[in-house]
Amino acid sequence: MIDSTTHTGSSGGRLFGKVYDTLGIWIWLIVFAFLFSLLNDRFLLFLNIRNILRQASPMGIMACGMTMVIITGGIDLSVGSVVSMTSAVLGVVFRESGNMGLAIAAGMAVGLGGGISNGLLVGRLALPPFIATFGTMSAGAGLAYAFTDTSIGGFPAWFEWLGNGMIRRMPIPFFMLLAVAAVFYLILTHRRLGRHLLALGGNEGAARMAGMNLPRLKLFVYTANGLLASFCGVILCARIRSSYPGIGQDIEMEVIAAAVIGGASMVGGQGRIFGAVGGAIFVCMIQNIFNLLGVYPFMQKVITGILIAVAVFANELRARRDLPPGASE
Amino acid sequence: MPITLRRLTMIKEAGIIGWIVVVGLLVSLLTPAFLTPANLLNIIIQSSVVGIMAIGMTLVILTGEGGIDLSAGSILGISSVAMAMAIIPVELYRETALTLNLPNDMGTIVTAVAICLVTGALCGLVNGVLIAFVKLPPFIATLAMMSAARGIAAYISAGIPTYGLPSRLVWVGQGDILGFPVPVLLMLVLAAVVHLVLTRTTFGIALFALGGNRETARFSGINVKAMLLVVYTLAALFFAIAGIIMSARGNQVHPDAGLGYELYAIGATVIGGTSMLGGRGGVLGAILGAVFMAEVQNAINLLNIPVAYMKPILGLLIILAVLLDQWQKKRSIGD
Repeated sequence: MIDSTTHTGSSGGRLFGKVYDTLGIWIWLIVFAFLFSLLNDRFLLFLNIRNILRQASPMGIMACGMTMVIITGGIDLSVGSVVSMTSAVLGVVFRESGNMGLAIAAGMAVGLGGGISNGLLVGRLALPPFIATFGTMSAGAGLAYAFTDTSIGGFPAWFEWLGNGMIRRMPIPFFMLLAVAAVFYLILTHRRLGRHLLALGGNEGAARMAGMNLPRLKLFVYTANGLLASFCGVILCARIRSSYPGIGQDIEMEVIAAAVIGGASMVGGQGRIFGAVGGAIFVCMIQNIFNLLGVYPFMQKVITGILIAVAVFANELRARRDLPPGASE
Repeated sequence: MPITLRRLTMIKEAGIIGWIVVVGLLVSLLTPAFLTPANLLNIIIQSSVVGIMAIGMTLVILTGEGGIDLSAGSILGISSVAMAMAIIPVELYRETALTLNLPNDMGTIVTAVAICLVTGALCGLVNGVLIAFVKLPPFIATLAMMSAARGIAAYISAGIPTYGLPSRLVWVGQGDILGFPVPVLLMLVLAAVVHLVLTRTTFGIALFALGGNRETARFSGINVKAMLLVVYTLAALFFAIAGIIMSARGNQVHPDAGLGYELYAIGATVIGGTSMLGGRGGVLGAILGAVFMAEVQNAINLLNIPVAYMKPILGLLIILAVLLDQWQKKRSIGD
């Protein structure tokens, strides 16, 4: 529907198409926020919005990394396991040493190790990303429980502040999200690295012919993604004031959904960092309104599934329109 | 002798058979409980649910271009719940069906099984439409179906599991014909039929062509959309059959039935030698992959290895299996 208005070329339609191209998911976000505010008068309260942003921050950070992975034509199923394992390691190291800094470093090492393994498996050994990260996902999920099966708490106040504190009445994780998104946005749009990643996802063969070091590019995205996932594991521990080896279960699906809703194309070569941030807020906003309205948890799943499909369909329409005439069959 | 050995390695499934034998020998050295007829039969029965799912998953993965069905476990769940509800109304779920006088006539059972299969096929049809006509990536379409089908399964059953099914239905999971367990026979018959369809019919050839190169397949006059529709529907049918067996074996139906099983099915398929890129593989390998996974699970239980290590070991094995497969493929091409 949207693409037909832009094609027929009324100036209003073209303007709308342009705005839609730039803002993408953010338009849907505003439309849905308006609709939700009609459904429930507590939805648009500052406290509720702030709550949504706080919940969306870790997911948004991971969605930035996932967007980079998806841009290269890959996928990372292991982020949830990395979060779980980071949490488990952080908790155990803290319990044994009492040193919070050491615990954070050990937790981040999980993401570094997991990311490098993924990067080598995909980049050097040429495993399909789905299989490589599926393997590390299973490994991480099991090892987290092998490490500890209990919840560990009692962290120092400054650490818990990182997850729960505010600066100028906004949650700290939200500022972290903005910083991460800004860095990755700049890499993607203003750096050679970003152009290479887009080229790799657009046409891997052509990128190789052009002399790009594909294994190194892949190593970079998977390692960056692993580190971001670990970072979120740390933030989540700070927010819930404890560590738990099952904390990241099934997060990967929500993160992939956020990235794809934000405009990342599963075929590779396309993705938006701030779109992914919007996607994460979108997913959390839907969960929030379901809770406010008291929707059955079962039906939440159904509606979330349908919304993901619709959002991706809307993106695909846009992507198909961008193809040169005749390229689509 | 060397010639026969080489011929053996030419068999596509040689790799996975080798894995099964090697792990079997290793485990039988470590524990005497492994190599007994009862335990081996147990392993094969254990593999039947994942094995039948893997048949469907193989068809989907063979289509290539990211063909995958993440909704396999959810489709298993929703069709099992639909089957149970055709026998026991949800209000009576709580009464523990075991104490109820369950209808055990053939008519009710056949109707319930038919409802189960139709529910599964409908979910698969929706997947097929989303992928072939709406052109969603299979990963996304089936991810949406995964949460939607699971949600509906929980909603219609009010989230309540039921224990106890009619004895004629339980026979499908626990009974035997001339000493052969029904689930194993079912798995073998289905695998044989699908194997013949894949290797001896135009449908099979078209499916491999589709996965090899979709564009070429289209230009050769293969109706790609119809193929995708049929494949995703058929696959869901197999997930529903696996649901019947799982319910009958456990004599219970849980709205969470099959949770996470899509990953086991994908694992069995890939370990069995089907390429994630499509166009290469087969159902016999998938069955053997399922047997291998059941063998590993069994070994982990017998050796008293903590359950937490189960997933890491499986993950490692899947990566190794695919690496070996790639290496084998490279060697056979000869570069």
